[in-house]
Order: sequence, then C-alpha cells, then structure tokens
Amino acid sequence: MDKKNVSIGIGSVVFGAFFFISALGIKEAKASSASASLFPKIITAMMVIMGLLLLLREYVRMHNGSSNPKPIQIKNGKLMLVFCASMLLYALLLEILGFLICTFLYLTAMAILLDKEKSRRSMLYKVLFGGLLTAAIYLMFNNFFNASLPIGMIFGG
Amino acid sequence: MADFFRIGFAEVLSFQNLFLVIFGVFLGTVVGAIPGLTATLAISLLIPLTFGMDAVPALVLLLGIYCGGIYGGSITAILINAPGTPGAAATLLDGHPMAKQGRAGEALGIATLSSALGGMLSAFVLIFLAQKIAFVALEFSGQEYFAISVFGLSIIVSLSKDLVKGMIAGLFGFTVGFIGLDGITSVQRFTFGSVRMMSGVNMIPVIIGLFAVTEILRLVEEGKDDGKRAEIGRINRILPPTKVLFRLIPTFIRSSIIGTLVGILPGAGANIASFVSYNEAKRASKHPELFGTGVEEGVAACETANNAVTGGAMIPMLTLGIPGDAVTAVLLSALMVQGYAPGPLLFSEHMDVVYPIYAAMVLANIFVLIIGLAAARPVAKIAMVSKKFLIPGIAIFAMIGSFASSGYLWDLWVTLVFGILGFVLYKLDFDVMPIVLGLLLGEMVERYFRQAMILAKGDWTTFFTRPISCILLVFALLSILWNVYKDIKKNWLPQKQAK
Repeated sequence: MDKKNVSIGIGSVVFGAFFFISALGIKEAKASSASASLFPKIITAMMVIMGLLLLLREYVRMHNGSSNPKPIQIKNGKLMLVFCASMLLYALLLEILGFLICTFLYLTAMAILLDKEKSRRSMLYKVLFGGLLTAAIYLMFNNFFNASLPIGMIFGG
Repeated sequence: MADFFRIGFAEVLSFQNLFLVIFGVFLGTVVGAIPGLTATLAISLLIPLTFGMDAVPALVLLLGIYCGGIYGGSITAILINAPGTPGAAATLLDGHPMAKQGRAGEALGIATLSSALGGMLSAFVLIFLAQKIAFVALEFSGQEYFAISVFGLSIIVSLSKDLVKGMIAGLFGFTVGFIGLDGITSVQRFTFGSVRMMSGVNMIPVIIGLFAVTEILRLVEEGKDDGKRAEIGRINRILPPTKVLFRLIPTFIRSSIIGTLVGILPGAGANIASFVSYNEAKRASKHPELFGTGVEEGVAACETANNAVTGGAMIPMLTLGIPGDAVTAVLLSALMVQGYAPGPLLFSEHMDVVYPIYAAMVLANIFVLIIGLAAARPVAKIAMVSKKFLIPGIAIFAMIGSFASSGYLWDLWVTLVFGILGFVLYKLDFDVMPIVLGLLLGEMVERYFRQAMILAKGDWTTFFTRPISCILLVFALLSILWNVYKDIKKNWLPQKQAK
C-alpha cells in the first residue's frame, strides 16, 4: 500500500469530517439554497468522500497487485528540522527582539548552518552577509516601501 | 488601437515604469536562471512590496519578472545542463549538447530570440483577443460565471498527476477560503471564536508559503553548500547565422501557436507547452533522429512555446478571472490586491490599467531580447550564487514580505504553516497548484452560485436552462468523467505484468 496516498486519504477524511461538523454549526437567520453553510457542507463532505475513495483505491491496488509504492524519503532530515525550527523561532522572536537583531542573527546563523566550510575567513563573510543584507532590507522596506518593521519589545517597541 | 499606443505605451514609457520593466525582466531572468527558483516564487515574494505602489507600476514590474523568469531558465539549461525553471526542462535536450559542441553562444542566441518572439506573438494575441472575449463575457450573468469557474477548476484538476489527489487539493483550498466572515450574509464560518480568524486567511501569505517557503525547504533538503560550482564554458557569438534563423521560421510560428493555446488552457503551463512543442517540432522535422544531439529546432521549439504561454495565460486571467498557470494565479492575486477584479468590468471601466498591461507585455519581451543577448553570461554567473546566502536571503524576504503584507505576525505564521505543509505535501506527491486555485476561485464559484440562486429564487435548473452555462457545465462534467475513466484504468484495474 502506498503510504503517501494512505496518509493523504486519512488526512482528507479527518480534515473534511472536522470541518463538516463545524459547518453544521454555522448559525444563520434563515436556511435557503443560497445560504452561507451550503457550500462549506458540500465541499467538506466531498473531502471526506474523496479521502475514502483514495483509501479504497489503495486497498484495491494492493489486492490486484498494481500498487507500486515509493517510500517517503527526506534527505538531510536533521538539517531540515533545524532550518524549520529556526524559521519558527524567528517568528517567535521577531516582535520581542525587533527586526534588526532577529534578522541579523537569523541570516548569519543560517549561512553558517548551510555551509560545509567553517574557516575563520568564511565566518567573517557570513557575518558581513548577515549585516549587509539586514541593513539593505531595512532601508528598502522602511524608505522605499513605507512598511514599518518591528522595533522590538525590549527596545520599547 | 490608437488608444493602446496613446494610453498604454505613454504610461509604460515613463521613466519610472520603463525602469521597472527593465528591472523586472532582469530580476526575473536571474531568478529564472537559478535552478530551483521560479518566476512564481519571485512574483509571490514581491507582491507585498507592491502594496505601496500604484497599480500600473506594480503590474509592470511583476509582468517583467514573469516574462524574464520564463526565459531565464534556458540560460542554465544550456550552459550547465540544469534547467532554471520547469519550462526549460525540454530546452536542455538540445541546448546543452549544443554547448558541449562549443556552440553555447548560438544556443543562447536562439533561445533568446525564440523567447522574445514567442512572448511577443502571444502578447499580440492577448491584445487582439482579450477585449473581444471580455465584451462577450459582459452578457454573462452569475450562472455563466459559475459555470466558467467550475469548468476552469475541472480542467486544472484534470491536469493534476492524480485526479483524486488533485480534487482533494482543490477542495482543501476551497475550505481554507471559507474561513472568516461570509461575504454576503457576514455569518462567521470556521472562525472557532477567534477575532483574528474573522478576517479570514489572507491569500498572499498562503501563496508565499506554498510557492516560496516550500521551494526554500526543497533547496535545504538538497544539503549544505559544498562550495562546488558548475563550469560555464566559453560563449562564442550569440547571434545565430541568418540562414539558421530563416530555417527556424516555421518552428517559431508553430511553437508560438502551441504555446499560446496551452497558455489559454487553465492550469497548463510553460513545461507542458515546451514538451508538446518539442515533440511537434521533432515530428515535423526531416531528421527527427537528430533531435537530442544539438539541433537548433529543438531549442527554438521549446523556448518559443514556453514564452508564448505568457500572453495566452493572461487571456483567461484578465477576461474571466481564471488563471492560465501558476504564475498568472499569483498575478491574479496581485491584481486583486491593487483593487481590480479581473473580468469584463476591467475592460469596460479600467482600460487605463489594461492598456499598460498590454504595453508592458510587449516591452518586456523586447527587453528579454536585449538583456538575453547582452547579458547571458553575467546572468549565469549571478545565478550560481552560493546556497548558503541564497536560501536565508529568500527565507527572510518571504517572512518579512508576508509580515509586511498586513503588519500582523499572524500572516507570518500562516506563511510558515503553509510553507511546511507545502513541503510535506510535496513529499507525499501532492500537487499544490489546485490548492491555490481552490483558494482563489472558490470564493468566486460560491459567490456566483449564490447570486444566481438568489436571482432565480432557488431554482437550480437555471444553470441548465441558460445555453452557455449548460454547455460549460456539461464540458466540465465530461472532463471529469474522462479523467475518472483514465484513473480507473490506471489505478483501479489490475495492471498487465511485464513478461
């Protein structure tokens, strides 16, 4: 059985069922053929049906021998996890530390993380990269696009 | 036509807009040249930055990126056998062999000329056809718009690798679009008591997440930067001999038609156009056995077609609000962010925006030619930027861009959630394009359906008593049924085992 399709099938059934039940609770003054709950009910019900269809299809394929599942492979899993965690951490700390500190730290740390070379000279380039790009983005967003970036709660922002 | 030149070109040839077109084409070319990055990513990253711009400069910049981005993929496809974009995957079949034979310059010249020609011809098709389609669509009512949207969605879903998964993706996009207050009755839907959720899920952070963050994660998955760079060989003369160009004229014409038609088809993009065109060029050739060994027609067919998609894909997007490919799906959101709804009203009330769009498409392809002929080698060198700088740089642009789109951290979290989700779905062989289209078109489908039902006083047969609506819904049903049949044959019946 193709685990990928089974995962999607189960996900679709669970997601669809959850939102279908939520759609039943949509409060309206008057039910009609043009009501706000009609489409959500139809769409989420279809998600459940499609999910079940996918699961059934995988079951049939497994039994008639036509299933040819390819395993789910994630290369460099640890690197991926650290990178994802770093983005989430950036979002958590952005309003606390402010754009300048957060972005500089993120860019420098990621440049170090994503490079195999760890010489002193390359570290300097990465720090420079972090500083220059942070400044460039700050100037671009603040002056050119008039978008305000977080100052940081620790600086009274 | 006089208005097109007077209003369109006059607007686009202003100093600011001219600079933006050139900058957009250059930036799009560089991004398109970098393997793993696409015009879709570049445009989705830049949309938040266009909020503070007027509509015409914003659209002119994004269209420049679109045309440059589709072309840029050919540069690295030819020079280092790595297509910068999916649309250039077929270009390397003959482009890189030409480079290995010492004819890299000629290959780049043909790719550049082909891209500019294909893009220009499809831009003219856009100019001549779009208004006519829009005026026909002026007679449409909610029933017809509902039917068109359903037909468009059915085509997109049908073009997914897997019909059932494509439908699940589209339905998921629809469901995300329901979150918030209902547009007609202001009833809360799927808000779970959250005030933040009442304003719904902003489409820009979702697009940035699914197209930009997912791509970044795919690049990270390839591993750390090992410092190795591909060798760019010597580039000799770029302009191909005149007799070669004359010989390629039938290929240019055929491939432009193929690319434009594929572009018009919702959901079909540059990669489909370039492979179809390549196959047709091979079939039409007196020496098909030479294709794959470094034949000029091979490069010309792919590049003409993939750039011809640009004008074709803009037609359904501008006239009916149905995007022709992933890039126009993102451009559609950019247009809506600027306050312009695509459709006939855009043509009847906002030709001051439409004419500059036409002019920008023509001008962008002229600059594709200029930049491509003058700067292919420097662009290739820039495209080899180190991953350790490229990935964090794009990540920051994606995160700050989505934050700046509204000023709320919530949108940054939406981007990250959808980015990680997009990567997980990619690993599960799940196409994300129907998610975006479900999100973009779902609201339209529902709104038109409900408007039609209100006007018809609840009589659902109204969709079948109006001829155009009926025909389109029947076509949508036939399209789905045809794909159901194919799916049953492929996935449900026992396959014959190879002996």
